[in-house]
Amino acid sequence: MIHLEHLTKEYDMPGGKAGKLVAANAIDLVVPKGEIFGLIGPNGAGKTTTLKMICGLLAPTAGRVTVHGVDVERYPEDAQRHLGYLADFFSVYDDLTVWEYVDYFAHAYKMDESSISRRVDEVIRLVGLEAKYDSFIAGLSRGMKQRLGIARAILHSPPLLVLDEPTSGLDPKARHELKQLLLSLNRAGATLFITTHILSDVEEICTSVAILEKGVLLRCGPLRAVMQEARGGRRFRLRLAVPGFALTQWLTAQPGVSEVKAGVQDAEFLLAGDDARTAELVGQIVSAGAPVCSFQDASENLEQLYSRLSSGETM
Amino acid sequence: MIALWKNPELIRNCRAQLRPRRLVLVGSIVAVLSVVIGYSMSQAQAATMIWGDQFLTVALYAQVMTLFIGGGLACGRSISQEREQNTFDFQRVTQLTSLELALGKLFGAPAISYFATFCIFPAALMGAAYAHVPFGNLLCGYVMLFGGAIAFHCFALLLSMNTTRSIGGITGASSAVMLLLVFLMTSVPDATRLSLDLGALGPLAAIDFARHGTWQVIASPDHGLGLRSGTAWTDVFFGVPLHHFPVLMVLYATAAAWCLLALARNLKRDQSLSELFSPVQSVGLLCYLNFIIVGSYMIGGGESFFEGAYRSVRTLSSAFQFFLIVNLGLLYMLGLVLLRNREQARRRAHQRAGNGFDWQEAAWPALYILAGAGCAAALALVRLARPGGVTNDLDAGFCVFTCVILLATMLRDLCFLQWMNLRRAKNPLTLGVILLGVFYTCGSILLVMARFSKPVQTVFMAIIAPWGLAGADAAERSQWSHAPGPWMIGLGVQVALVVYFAALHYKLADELRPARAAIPARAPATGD
Repeated sequence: MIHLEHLTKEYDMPGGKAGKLVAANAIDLVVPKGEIFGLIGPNGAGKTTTLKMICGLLAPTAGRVTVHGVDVERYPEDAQRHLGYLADFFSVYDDLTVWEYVDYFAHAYKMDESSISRRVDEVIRLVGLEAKYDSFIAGLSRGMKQRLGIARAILHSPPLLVLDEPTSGLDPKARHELKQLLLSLNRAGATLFITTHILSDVEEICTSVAILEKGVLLRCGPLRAVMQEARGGRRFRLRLAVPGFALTQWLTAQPGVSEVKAGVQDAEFLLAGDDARTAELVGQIVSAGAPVCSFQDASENLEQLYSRLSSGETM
Repeated sequence: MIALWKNPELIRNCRAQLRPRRLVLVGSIVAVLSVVIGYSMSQAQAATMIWGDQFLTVALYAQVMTLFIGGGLACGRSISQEREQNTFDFQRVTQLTSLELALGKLFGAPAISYFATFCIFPAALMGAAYAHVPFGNLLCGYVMLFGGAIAFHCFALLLSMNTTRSIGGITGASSAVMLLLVFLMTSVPDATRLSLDLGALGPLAAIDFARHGTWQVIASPDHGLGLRSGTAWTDVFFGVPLHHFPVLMVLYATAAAWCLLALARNLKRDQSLSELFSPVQSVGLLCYLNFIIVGSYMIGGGESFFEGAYRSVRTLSSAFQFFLIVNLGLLYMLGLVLLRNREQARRRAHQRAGNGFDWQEAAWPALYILAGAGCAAALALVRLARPGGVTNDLDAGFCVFTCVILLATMLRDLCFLQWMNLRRAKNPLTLGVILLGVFYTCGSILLVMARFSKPVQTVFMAIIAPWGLAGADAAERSQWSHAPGPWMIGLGVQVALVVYFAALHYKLADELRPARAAIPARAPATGD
């Protein structure tokens, strides 16, 4: 769905300093159809710049972006037909009503005239703004305006949604509703490309993830694969009911086990391999006579992984 | 292309601006003012024809102000304001083409001004009826008024598009208003002949035509384009007398078309890569302006505003000087339009990575300046080939030398500005223009104060600012013929400076190239 080839964006260093600021450093990336792709990174990592280049709003210094097989720079309008865009910091036309706003974009997307009225009603209902149909946008809350932004982005049923920080600034309930909406759009066939700071959201809804720092992709791929590859296995915590079993000795002798940190009654270790290997190890330790009372997955979450991989440096 | 009345941007603007309450308010204010002013005028002046004419004039002036100032302000803010509100990017990702978006804003942004103008119509019609103004005149006056307003709004929109985000909508709007004020001031009748020349092109011409216009075309007019004599509305184009109305409409239409071309090229583009016209289009604009100036220029019986005062153009050298001065200004503007910023140069550098030296890149935008100069010279020569009883006092050698050295000086300045524009600074071009101004000021002071001997002074002048050659009189021309040596030295220095600044520019542009070995990505680059 999205294909970035050697995508580069350079700026001058702010304040007239020497050197250049590379917001995107020769990024090569493929986002397949049907994914919910999360692009994460610290402030100033180049996320929004990359996203704007995907939408054809910023011209890359070098490299190429194709959306749905269309070169964004050469044929921006053709490419933009296939995408819906929501910016991180956006405003709407306060002097229009909700209906007028959505209707304006329906016409601006050059949708079929006969379907506009029905689709406008449908989208307003979908984002839960039917009660505000004839209200002026000036009177809407931030969450409602965000939902209106989503309505605008999905209005023409684009196969790709490009969303910059869609859940930022929303209360927990609105965030939950928005995530459910995004998941339902994905189930309906849309590909989602999301940038966010909220890593729990990424873990919750994304199928693939990329970590960007100073314009460079640190990690990229399906969420599970990225996490597993980054830590070299799964981390487990084991606890015995009574002391007496030589945990360190036994664990270090097992194939695929590393980084063993054992106490008298408990141990933490890294195990390479899949779920079958984990089950096998649990069976073996119980057979060896260890009084196991607890065995739990202590793997790091995306936030911990991100903290470990990222230096947190900004440009 | 969406039909104008279905244009979503036009409809959005109309919906937002033309709410019933606001319409009632505007309509009521205009109605009350019309009644009060009309009544007071009718009481002050017994003759209905006179107060009718006065009332018509007031109504027309009000419409001019509403359309030009109100509409100009609205257009001048329409794009820059959207950028500031962060709503413009959403318009950019829609399926509306740049031209559709531009047309929607052109007619939509001043919607309330148009409404107010229409509200004044009854007053104007009443005044016209009492003043016995022919309906045709009134209609054509309005066509001129709306034509001028649309062309002016296009220009205001162009300013708004090029307004940087940090400055905000103020600059675009204030520039538009300032230009309008100049436009209006130069339209005031009984001002200088120069003002009158422009006056016929301004919005007040529409008022004049509605009130006193005639359809008579004088067979042998004694004036060029825009210079009205008495009540005649005749322009002369390439020797052919034409009525001013169609000429004005063509000028308005072409001016609007050039603005719309720039808008259609740039409106949805990344602003950092904005390029008003392509190089070829820029040369085309230069040729168009030359075509208008050359075509409407009268040799042999008319008057010229050359040298700050009016005098009869009876000699070919005067005509040469006129065309030269006009084109120096136009070529300078062409050069400024073509200058590349750092972002554009960086993209070029990435595209050209690995390529060898390119003299066209180094001397940018010299090639297009030379092409423009060639086209302008060809147009001028065509016109001068049919002088019609004018004394041929041209010294061909002097003319060619003047053109060459002034062109070299202009290229020196433009290559300097191009180099400055690539320097790392907040406003590098502004800094370059200031430095150039300082250079000319100090050079001129030194020239006056230093009291050099004659050949040294000539060389010095030829190096610093040979612009005076454009207005050289017969004595100076003969001086050049007798001692061209110092001038030739000056020309040589100018060419050397062009090469020097081109080399500096190329060196700076080269630094923007990507590093020889690209940094490899540290991660597998696929989302599969």
